[in-house]
Amino acid sequence: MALIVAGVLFVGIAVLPVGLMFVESLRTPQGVSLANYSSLLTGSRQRVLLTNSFLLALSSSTLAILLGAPLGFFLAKTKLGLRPWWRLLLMTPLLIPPYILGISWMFSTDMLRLLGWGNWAGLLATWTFSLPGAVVILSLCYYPIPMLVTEAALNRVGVRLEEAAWLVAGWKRTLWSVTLPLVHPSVAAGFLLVFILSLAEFSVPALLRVRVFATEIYTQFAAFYDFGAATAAASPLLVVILIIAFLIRWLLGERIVSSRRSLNSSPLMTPSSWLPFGKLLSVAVLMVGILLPIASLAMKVDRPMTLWRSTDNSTAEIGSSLALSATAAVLAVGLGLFLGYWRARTNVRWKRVADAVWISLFALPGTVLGIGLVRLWNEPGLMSFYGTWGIVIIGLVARFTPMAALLLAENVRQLSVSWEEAALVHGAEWWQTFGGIVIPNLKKGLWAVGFLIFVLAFGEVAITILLIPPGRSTLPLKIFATIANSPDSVLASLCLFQTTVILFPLFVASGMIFRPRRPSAKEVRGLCL
Amino acid sequence: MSPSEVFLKLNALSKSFNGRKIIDCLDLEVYAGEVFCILGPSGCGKTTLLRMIAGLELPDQGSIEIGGKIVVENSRTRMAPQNRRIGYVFQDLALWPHLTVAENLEFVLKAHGISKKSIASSVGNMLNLVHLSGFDDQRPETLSGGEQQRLAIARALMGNPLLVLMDEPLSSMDSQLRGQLRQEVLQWIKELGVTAVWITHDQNEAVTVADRMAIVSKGCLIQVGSPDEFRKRLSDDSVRQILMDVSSNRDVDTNWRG
Amino acid sequence: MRNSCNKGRVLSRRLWKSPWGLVILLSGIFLSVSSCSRRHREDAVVIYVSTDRPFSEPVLQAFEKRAGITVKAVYDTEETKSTGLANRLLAEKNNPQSDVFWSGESVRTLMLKRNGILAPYNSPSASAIHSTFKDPEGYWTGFSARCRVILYNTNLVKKGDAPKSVFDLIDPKWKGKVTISDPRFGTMSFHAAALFVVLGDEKAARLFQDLQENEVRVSPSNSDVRRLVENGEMALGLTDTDDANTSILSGKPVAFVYPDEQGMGTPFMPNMVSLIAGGPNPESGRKLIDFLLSPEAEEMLAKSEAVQIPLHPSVSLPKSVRSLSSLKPLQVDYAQVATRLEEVIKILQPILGL
Repeated sequence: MALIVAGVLFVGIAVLPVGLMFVESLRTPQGVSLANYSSLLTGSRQRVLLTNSFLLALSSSTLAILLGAPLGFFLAKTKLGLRPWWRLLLMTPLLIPPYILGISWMFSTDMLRLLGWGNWAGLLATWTFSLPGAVVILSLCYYPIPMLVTEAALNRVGVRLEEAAWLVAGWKRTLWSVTLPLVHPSVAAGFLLVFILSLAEFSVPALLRVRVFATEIYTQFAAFYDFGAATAAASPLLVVILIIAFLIRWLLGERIVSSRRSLNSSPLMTPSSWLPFGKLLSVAVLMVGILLPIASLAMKVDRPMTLWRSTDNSTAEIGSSLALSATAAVLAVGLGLFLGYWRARTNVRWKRVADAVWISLFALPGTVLGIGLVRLWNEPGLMSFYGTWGIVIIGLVARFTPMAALLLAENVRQLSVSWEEAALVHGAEWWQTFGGIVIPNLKKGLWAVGFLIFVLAFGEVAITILLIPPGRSTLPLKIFATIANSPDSVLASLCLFQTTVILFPLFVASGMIFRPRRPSAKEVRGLCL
Repeated sequence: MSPSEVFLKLNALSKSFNGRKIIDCLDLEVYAGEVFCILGPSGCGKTTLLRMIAGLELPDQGSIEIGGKIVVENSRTRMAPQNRRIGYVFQDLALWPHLTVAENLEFVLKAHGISKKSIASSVGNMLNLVHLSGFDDQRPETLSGGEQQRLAIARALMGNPLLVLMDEPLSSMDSQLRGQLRQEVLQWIKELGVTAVWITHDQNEAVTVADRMAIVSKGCLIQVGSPDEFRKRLSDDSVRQILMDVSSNRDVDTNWRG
Repeated sequence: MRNSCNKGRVLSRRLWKSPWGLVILLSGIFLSVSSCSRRHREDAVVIYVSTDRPFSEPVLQAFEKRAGITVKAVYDTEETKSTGLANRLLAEKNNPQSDVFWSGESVRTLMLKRNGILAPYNSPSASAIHSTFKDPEGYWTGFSARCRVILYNTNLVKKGDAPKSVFDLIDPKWKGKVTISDPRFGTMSFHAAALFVVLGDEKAARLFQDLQENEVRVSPSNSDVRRLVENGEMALGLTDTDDANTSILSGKPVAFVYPDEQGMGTPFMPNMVSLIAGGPNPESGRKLIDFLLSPEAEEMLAKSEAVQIPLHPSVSLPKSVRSLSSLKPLQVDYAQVATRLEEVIKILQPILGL
C-alpha cells in the first residue's frame, strides 16, 4: 500500500513533468513528428560531440575508479588510525560543486606562477583547457563515489568467507580471488554513477571549453528557446547512459552479496607495511584534489574584506539553502527508500523499466524537469502553492529521488530477505517489518544517501532558478547572479564561502555519525522501546 | 486438543519454479500437539513446503488449512502470514542483527501486541528456558553457533505460536551438541504443547524426535508413519535404501511409493 | 487494533529520538513557515532581472523606498548560462507570475516579444530616450547601455598599437593573441548578430573566418575573456564596458578602446525593460518601469561599477563614463538582430568549430 502511494507520488512529481516535455518534443509546427529527433542524428557535429561526451565520461569514470577503488581498499583493509577522519577528508571533493573545482583549477596557474614555477604554470594553462583537463577535474570530483562504495562493499564481505579462503590460499590470493570478485559489482555500480554524472555534467566542460553533448542541450535552451528540440537533444545522452547501464547489469547480473555482519572478529587486514602506501596515495590525492584548489582560491582573495563583504547579507540565503536542501534530502530519501525497496524486492517482469526510468530521470538536464514542472504546476488554482518554497522542494525531490531510489535499491539488496520474512512470519505487519527491521539495518545507507542529496541539492541551480518564489533566493543562485562580472577576488571568495557552507555541516554531521559506535546496551534498549 | 485432531492439513499442494515442479500434488495431515518430521535430501522441496505453510510462498494449486481455517487456496491467500500465529526457525536463522538477544524476542511479542509488562517476564522466562539468560544485551553475532541456534528456536517459540516450523534447526552443529540440543528442543516444544513441523535430512534425528514422520522426495510424500514403523521396516531392503539415500543426500526413486 | 496503535507509538517515539526525527521536525517547521508567510497580501511587484544582481539590486531597493511597493525579484544573469529567466517566462506563459522583465541585453527581450510574453507600455519617463533604443510598438524600452569594447593588456600592447576596429583583430600580428567569448551566448551573440546585420552575411562570415584563421580563442564567457587578458595569456579580447571597468578598478594592467568609432560605430547594448502580458500587478509594474527609465535610475547605474552609459542626455556623469553624445553607436535594428541570431549561430558554429 505504502509502496503504491510512493509510486504514485513519484510519477506525479517526477515522471509527469518529464513526460509532458517528451510530448512537447514530439510536437512540431507540422504536427506530431520525430523531426526533433531525426535532425539530431543527421549532423556530423552531433556525432563529434557525442564521441567527446562518451570519451569524457568513460575516461573520467575510469580514472575515478583507479583513484577511488584503491583508496576504498585502503580505508577498509589497512590498520588505519583515525579512519573516519581520513574518510571524511578524502570524500570532501565530492561535496564541492564541480564548477568551483574547475574555477580553482583555472586559478591554480596563477598560483604556480606566484610560487615561481612559471614553466609549470604555462604547461598547466594549456593543458587545463582540454579534454584531459576536464577528465582530471571530473575524476578528482567524483573519485569519492567509487571510494565509498568500495569501502562499504569490502566491509560487507563476510569475514568467514575471507577466512575460509585465507586458510588455504594466504591473504594475497584471498584478496585477489575471493574479496575482489565479491566487491566488483559494487565497484561497477560506482563506475556507472560517475559515468552518468560526468556525462551529464555541464559546468566543467563549459568552463574549460571542452565540446560535449551536455553543452549542446544547453545551447538548445539558451540560444534557441525551443523546448521541444531541447528535450529531444537530451535523448542521445540518455541512450548512451542506458546502454552502459544495461551493459553493466548484463555483465554482473543482480548479484546479492550478503553476509552476516560481524563485530567481534575484525575483517581481513593487509600487513601494516601496506599502510604507508595507502597514506601516500591519500595525501597525494588530497594535495591535488583539495589543497591545491583551495589554496588557489584563497590566494585570489587579496583582501580579507572581500571575503567578509561577499558573505555579508547572505544569512537569509544560507538559511533557506540549508533548510531547502535538508528538506529535499529527507523527502527524496523517504520516497527513494520505498521505491528502492520495491525495486529490490519485487518480482514484476518490468522491474528493469524502473531502472531505465530512474537512470534517465537522473541523467536528464535539470532544465527539462524544471520547465515541465512549471508547465504542470503553474495553474491559477494552485497559486497558493506554486509561489512558495513548496514547489522548489518538489522540484528538488523530483530531481534527486531517482538517484536515491537507485542507491537505496542497491542497499536493500544487501539485506537478507529472511530477516524480513522472519518478522512477517512472527506476526509483524508490513509496516512494522519495514520500520523495525528494514530501516534500522539501512541506517548507514540512508544517512549516506541523504547527505549526498543534501549536498547536490545545495548546489542545484538549474531547477531552482525556474521555480524559486519571487523575492527569495538561495546561496548558489546569489553566487551565480553575482559572479558574472565580479573581479577574481570576489569570485574566489564566493567559491570559498560556498565550499565552507557545504563542508561545515558535513563536519558537524560527521561528528554525530562517526562518534564511537557501540552505544551501551541500555542506550540501545532505550532507542528501541 | 485431543491428539487425534488434525491441526495442519495440506490438500493437493503443487508448486513449480521456472517450470520445474518442486512440490507435486502433496497431501499431508499433522495432528495437534505432535512433532512431525519431514525427512528428505536437500533440494527435494522441504523448505518450499515449509515456506508455503508459513505463507512466504504461494502454492500454484491446492489448499492449506491451519487449525481448521483455510489460509491459502489455489494461490489465493486467505490469511496473511503475520496472522497465522506461526513460529519459524529459518535455515540461516535470520536473527535480526541490529537487535540484541532480548530485543529479538521482544520484537515478536510487540508484533503480537502483547503488553509491555508481560513482555519483560516472558522474555526472561524464555531466555531461561533456552539457557541464554545473561546474554540479553548482546548482539546475535557475538553468540556462538549453538547459542544463535537456541536463540532462533526461542524466537520461534515466543508469543505462544500454534504451529512451529523448523527448517533443519540443528543443521550447523556438531553431532554431540546436536544430540543434546535435540532433546532439549523436543522438551521445550512438548512443554509449550505446540504442534511442530521439523525438517531434517538426518534420519537419526527424525526417528528420535518425531511423533510421526514422512519422507519427501522430488516433491512427493512417499512414506508417512511413526518412527517405530520406520524402524520396523528398516529390515525391508527398499526402505533401508531410501533412508540411506536420504542420509547420503541422494534423491529417492519416486517409483517407490508406500 | 490496540496492537497496531501501540506499535505506532513505539515507532514514532523511536523516530523522534533519532536524528532523523530532528531533521523531519525542522523541515516541517520550515515548510509550514514558508507557506504561511506567503499569505501576507501586500502591495508588491514581481520582477525578473537578468542584469547582474550587484548593480540591479540597489536600484530596486531605491524604488522600494520611494514607492512603498515591495519588490519581489528573481535574479539571474545570462553570463553564467543558467538562462533560467527567459525559459521561465516562456514556461509560465499561460499563467504569468512576473510583472516586469529587466534584461541586460536585447536578444532575449525580443525573443520574448515574438513569443507573445510581453505587453506594450510607453512609459512617460522614456520620452527623452532616442527612438533607436525604443520599440516602436512599445513592447520594450532601452536604458543605461553597455558597449562592446576591445580590452587589451597594457604590458603587451602599447597604447598607440591597440586595434581601433574589430577588423584590426584579424591582423596577423595578433595571431593567437585574441580572445572572444562564445558567440552563441550573452553579449557576444548580440555583437556577432549585429555584425551580420550591418555588414551583410558574406562580409561578416568572412570576418569570423579570418578570426578563426588568426587563431582566435573562444572563451566561455566575457569574464573569462577579461581574465585571460588580465593575466597576459591573451593580448586582446572583446568584452563589455562593465567587465573592462571591473578589471581597471581592481588595478589590472588593462585598458580598452571603443571599436569602430571612426567607422560603422560601437555596438551599444541598452538594458531593456518590458511589461509582462497578464502579470499579477500591472499597475505596480508600470510604476517600476517608470522608475527604471528615469534619469535617477540611469544615474545610479552610471555611477555603479557597471558604468552604464545613460540614454537620457540630462544625467550627470562620473569621470569614467563617456556620454552618449561623445560616442558613435552602431546603428542597428535590435529586432532584426534578434531575429537573425539563430541563423547567425548556425553559420558561426561550423566556422569557429563550436
